[in-house]
Formats: sequence, structure tokens, C-alpha cells
Amino acid sequence: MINTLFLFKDTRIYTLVLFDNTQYYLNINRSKLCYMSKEISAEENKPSTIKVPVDVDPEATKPLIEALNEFQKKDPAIGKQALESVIAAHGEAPTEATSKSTKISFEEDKQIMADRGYKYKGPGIGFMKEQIKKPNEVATEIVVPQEVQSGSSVESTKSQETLAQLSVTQHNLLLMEQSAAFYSLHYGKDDPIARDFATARQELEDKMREELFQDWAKQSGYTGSPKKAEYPEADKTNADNEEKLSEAVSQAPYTEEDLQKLLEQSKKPENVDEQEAVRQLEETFQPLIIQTNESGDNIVILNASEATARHKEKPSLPKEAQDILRDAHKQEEDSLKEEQDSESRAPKTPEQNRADELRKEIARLAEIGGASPEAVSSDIVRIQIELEKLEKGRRKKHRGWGSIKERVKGLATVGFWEVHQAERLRSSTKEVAKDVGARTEEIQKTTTLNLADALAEAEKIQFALEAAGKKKDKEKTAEDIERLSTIITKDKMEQNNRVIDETLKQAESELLRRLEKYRNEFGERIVTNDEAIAQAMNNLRVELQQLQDGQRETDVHEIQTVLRNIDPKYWRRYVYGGVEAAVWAAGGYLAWTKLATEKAIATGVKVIQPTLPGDINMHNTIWQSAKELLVNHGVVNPTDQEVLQLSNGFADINGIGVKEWSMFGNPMDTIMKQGYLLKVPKVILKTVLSARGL
Amino acid sequence: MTIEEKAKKCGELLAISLLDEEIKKIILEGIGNFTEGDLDRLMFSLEQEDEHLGLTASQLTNFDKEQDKGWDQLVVAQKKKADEIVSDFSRQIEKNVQDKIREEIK
Repeated sequence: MINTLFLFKDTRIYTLVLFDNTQYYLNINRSKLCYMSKEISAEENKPSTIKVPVDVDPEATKPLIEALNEFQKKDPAIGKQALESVIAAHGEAPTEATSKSTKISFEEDKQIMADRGYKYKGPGIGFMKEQIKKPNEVATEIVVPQEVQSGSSVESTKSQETLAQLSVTQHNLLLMEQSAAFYSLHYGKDDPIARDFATARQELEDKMREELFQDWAKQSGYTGSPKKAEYPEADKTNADNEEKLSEAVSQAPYTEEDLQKLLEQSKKPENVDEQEAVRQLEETFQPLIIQTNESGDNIVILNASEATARHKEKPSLPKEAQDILRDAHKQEEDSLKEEQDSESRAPKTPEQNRADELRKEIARLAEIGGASPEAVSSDIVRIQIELEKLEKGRRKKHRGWGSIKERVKGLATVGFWEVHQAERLRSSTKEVAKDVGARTEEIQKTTTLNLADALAEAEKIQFALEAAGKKKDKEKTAEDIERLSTIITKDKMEQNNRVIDETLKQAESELLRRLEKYRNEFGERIVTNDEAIAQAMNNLRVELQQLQDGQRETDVHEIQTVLRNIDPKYWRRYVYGGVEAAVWAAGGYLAWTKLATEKAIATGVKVIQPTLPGDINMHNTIWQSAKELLVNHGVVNPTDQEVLQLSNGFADINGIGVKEWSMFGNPMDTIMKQGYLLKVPKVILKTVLSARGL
Repeated sequence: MTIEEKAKKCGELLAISLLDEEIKKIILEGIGNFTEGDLDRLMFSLEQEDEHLGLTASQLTNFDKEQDKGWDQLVVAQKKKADEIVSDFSRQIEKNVQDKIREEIK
């Protein structure tokens, strides 16, 4: 049944949900409607197949119309309007009165039409008449020549019918392309919806070409192969009518300009009411009710007061149903509370006791490790694995909502940051980490928490980008991506850096052992020196870091897929749309928007508040990185002394060797790779900033 | 599904929903203004929420697993690379020695 029909702010794409598992994507462009449907797999709950490719084929529209008919039985008023809107958008079949014609030539036909003010625009478009633009009227009118008007032959008239249909098809192609461009821009060219729209568009174009060819072949007597190259008129039409259908913009990936160009192509003048309704919609996100107008050939967007008035005309939910809903809610809520309480009151199970012991052991080991946590890291990791298994086992007993679900709690209405904070407080592992100090905390983080950190950071990046007016993936800079990468892989990198150090140590030891063996055997014939070994080790380090970079890239790619799923905008549009409408109906729409706005702002503010970074990636040199960091923190024209102070701090805290400053360390600053992860000497940074009064 | 069944399901889903408590309160207090269509929309959204969370959860779990696996495999690859470099180095020494010996023989 119809659940909802929404117009989304920046796309003007409607989603009409008809069945529990089927969504229909509609693009009306303020006046004309085409649609696609997607069956939502019950198991995976994601778009899987296109059920209805486009609205020109009566067979293809059948499921939708059947669905609307079905709905009409339940809600005759809305059902009828929805059905009419779809039929209107689908386009009426050409009239049948075509067989009484008198034969005249096509040139005569064109002349007659020209006298009437119509101009032949070529195959696929037909005759068009320019009109004075008035409110409530479309700019152009497509005319299917009638026998009384044109007097053309049966064949010719039939051809014109085909052309008129093709005109509709071309318009639909444009709408499909707009949709493909939109989804491609916002969710990437590999987005399933973008791909489906693009595929459906291509299928429709192929079908249109086939029809054009058949029509042309019938007229010309051509019997060859229906290949594109053999039907020059179709290509010519496209070339002559770039404003109708652009070949250039069909090339993926799309650009914002392509999308704007596409949107402009079908833009029609709007009347004042429509403009006002769209303005309101775009400003408030308010769900507006979409219905056909009285003549059934256009879309009416009701404003808030009209929508409210019509809503009031419908019968309210029976009192009994209201009570059932409230009772069911109360019962479920109580049940959840009881479960949580019983968990907190219940005596600890042997597994829980064991988990407590393990946490204590981690804390003890961390204390023993002290300044060199590496010494106990393997023991801590081993215990953590056992601890994690125990905790996972316990989590399985929870009803419905696993720990990971908790991590994404509040995505749409609150934002991930708050969830993350809650998770930090909730996590027992984290509590242990807090107790044993910052350095061991890094070791004690489980992968789950690492990811939660990463996602929170990603969320912050997203808000930060949006705050800066950047909304599209392509506008995210390499630096943003690098930052995301660093966050996601931070702990893994730290662990792997230890592996790299250990591997290098072992490799060097093995080389020296072999060298010694060769020297014993071959004496002075061995000319290899320490420098050669150092060079081999340097090469190995570079190779190992390159392998690490490859893994980081993989992680970024994977997490971006997940991030797309937790895009708050997506949730707001596609998941919580019905809730939004329900809140509106409940009379709390202002509260909803206020709440959502406040929370978005709150999250945004957190993002843009200056904070001292934990790590940065080296840009060219330590010196330059230090200088840029100071500038980023508001230090205008940092002095050499200030940069030197911070650079020294960087070298010191990261154990970097700098020959000029007589600082020993590994690696040497001269062989450090671009993007090397540097811990920020926060104390020194604070000192420099304080001295500047920042 | 009858309207009563839908109401019951909606109530249960709303209780476990991740929606802000304030939103839930608005819905519960304003339910008197609901039509059956509103109920349908609400139920659909709440079902979608549950399903989407399930999907996201499985993707996050999968990411965790794949990330662990990937970094474990990285360590193996790095060790292998180290072995290769050590072997290459040894081979180079042996080759140098052989060249020296050949020169001596000449």
C-alpha cells in the first residue's frame, strides 16, 4: 500500500512506497513524472532488482497501476489521485482516428502546420509550437497531427504518432538521466540506484532507437540491419536537438554542471503557487502532499496549511487503536527496562567473573609495562582476545540490539558523535584503559572501539566539510581522505609499525649473522660493509611501509562504503521520512525541525571548535609541518624560533634523528616519507600558542 | 494486517527505536491526530530503521573482521618481503664472492 510520497529538497525526486518491500522512485521535475521501482530484498533490505524500468510501456506500468488500484480500495480518495497522476505522467495513448486521412505529401503536411504556427523539429520530436509564456502554461506544446489537420497518409500519420510517443520518451530519458546524475553525484557512480537509473535510461534509449528504426525502415523500405549507424536520422535528431537530449552528459561520471544542465533542460515555468510551495519545501524539508490537479495532467504541491486542512478531513485513528499503540509501547519499554535492570542486579556469571579478572590482569600488566608498554603488549593482546570472546558471548544474549547497533544509535536524529561518547562511557574496556594511562590505552583498545573512533571522526569530517560548503565526495581533498585513513587505521598502524620495527631488527640481525658466516668462510673476499646493510634496511623499510599503505587504502575504501550507509541525510530521507510525516501529523513538526536543527548545530559546533590534534601527517619536512600546524592554529607569520621550538618537539616525541640539531633517532629526518604519521607535541604546541595569547 | 495489529507493532517498534525520546513523546502525545495513513508511514519507517540498522551492523562487523584479516595478512606479506630482501642480499654477497674467486683464478 502507499506509505508515503515525499519530495526531496535538492533533487525533486519523489519516493512513493507502495508495498512493504517495494519502493518507487519518482522524478517529477515539478510537472512531469517518471518512475522506477526497486524491490527491497527482505533479507538484505537493499535495492536489488528493477521491476519497472520506465513508464512508457503499458506492460511495465502494470504493477504500479495494479498496486494503486489495490490501494484505491482502501483509500479511494488518495488512491484515485495517485492513479491519475501516474496515468497522466505515463501519457495517454495516441488517438485512434487516424484511418480516414487523405493522402498528401509530408512537405504539404509541414506547410499546413507551419501556417498554423507549428514547426517540424525532426524525427523523435514532431511539430512544436512556440507560445507566449504565461503562468500555468507550459512553454511548448507537442502536437500529434490529426487527419483533419494534416491530411497525411495512414503511414505518415502513424509515423507522426510514433514521433509523438518518442517525444515523450525523450523527455523521460532526460528525467532518467537527471536521476542517474543526481545519485551518481551524491552517492558515487557505483551507487546501485545510480547504476539502475543509468541502465534503465540506456535500455529506454535502445528501445527508442529500435522504434525509430522500425518506423523509418517501414517508410523507406530499408531491410538491412537495425544498427545505429544505419539510421542517420536518429543521430541527426540528437545532434540537432542538444537541448533535448545531450549525448555528452550521458557519460559517467557526472559533474555538477552536467546535473544543472540536465535540470535546466526540462525546467518549465512555474506559477506563483508552485514557486511558493517549492520554496517552502526547500526551506523547511516539510513533507508536502503531492496530488494531481483537476485536469489530471499536472502535479499539485500543497502547502502546509492546505495539507493540514486535507489531513483533517480524513478519519482519525480509532481510539482503540491509539490505546493499543500506547499500551504496546509502554509494555515493550517496561520490558526493556526490566531486562536492563535484571542484568545489572543479577549475580555475575563465571564468564563475567573471568572477564573481570582479565581486565584486572590487563591493568596490572599495563602498570608493569610502564614506560615501555611494548614489553607486555603481546600478553595484553592475548588477554584482550580472550576478553573480547567472553564479551561477545554475553552480548549474544541481548534481544535484537547487538553492541554494534548501539554504536550507530541516534544516527539520524543525534549524530554519531554523541553515540560515540555514550559508547566510550559504556565500554568496560575503555574504563580499564582510563585507569592505566594514556600510553597503554592505545594498546588496550579493541578493534571495535577503534572503529567507533574512526566512525565518529568520519562523522566529524563530514559535518566539517558540510559546514565549509563542501558536500560531494569529489570535493573532499586528498588531505581529508588521508585524515580519514589515519583515523581508521591509527591503531592498526601503530601495531604494524611495531611489527615493522621488529621485522627490520630481525632482518638486520639475520644479515649480520650471514655476513659473519661469509666472512668466516671467505675472509677478505667479503667487501660488504655496514653502509650496504643500512641501505638494505632502508629499502626494506620503504617496502614494508608501501605494503602498509596498500592495506590502509583498502581500509579507507571499505569504510567509505559503510559510511555511505550511515549518512544522516540518507537516514533522514529514506528511513525516517515516515516518522517525519507522522510527527508532522501529530502536530509536532516544528519541534522535530527545531530538535534536528539544534542537534545538527550542536554536532557541527563540536566539529569546528579548535582542538589540539593527536597526530598529523608530515608535509614535506618536520619544519614545514610544524609551521603549517602553527598557522592552522591561528599563529600569524610564526617566527623561526617558534617553528624551531615545535620542530624540536616533533623530533623528540617521535624519536626522529636530525643531524643538523645533533639529535639521534630512527628514522632520520632526511629519509622520512611524505605523509609520515607524526605525534604532535601538544605541550609545546600549547606553550607556543599561549605565548601568542591563543 | 488490521489496524489494531499495525498499532501494536508500531508501539513495540517505537519503544525499541533509536529515535530521540523527545520525538517519541511527540508521536505518542499527538497520536490522536493520526490517520491510518500516518500509522502506515510510521510503521514503515520504524521497520526500515530496524532493517537498516541490521544491515549497517552486519557491514560494520564485516569491516572489523576484514580489517583484522587484512592487517594479519599484511604482517605475513611483510615478513615474506623481509625474507626476500635478506635472501637477495645473501645472494648478492655470494655472487660477489664468486666473482672475486673467478678473478683470483684468472
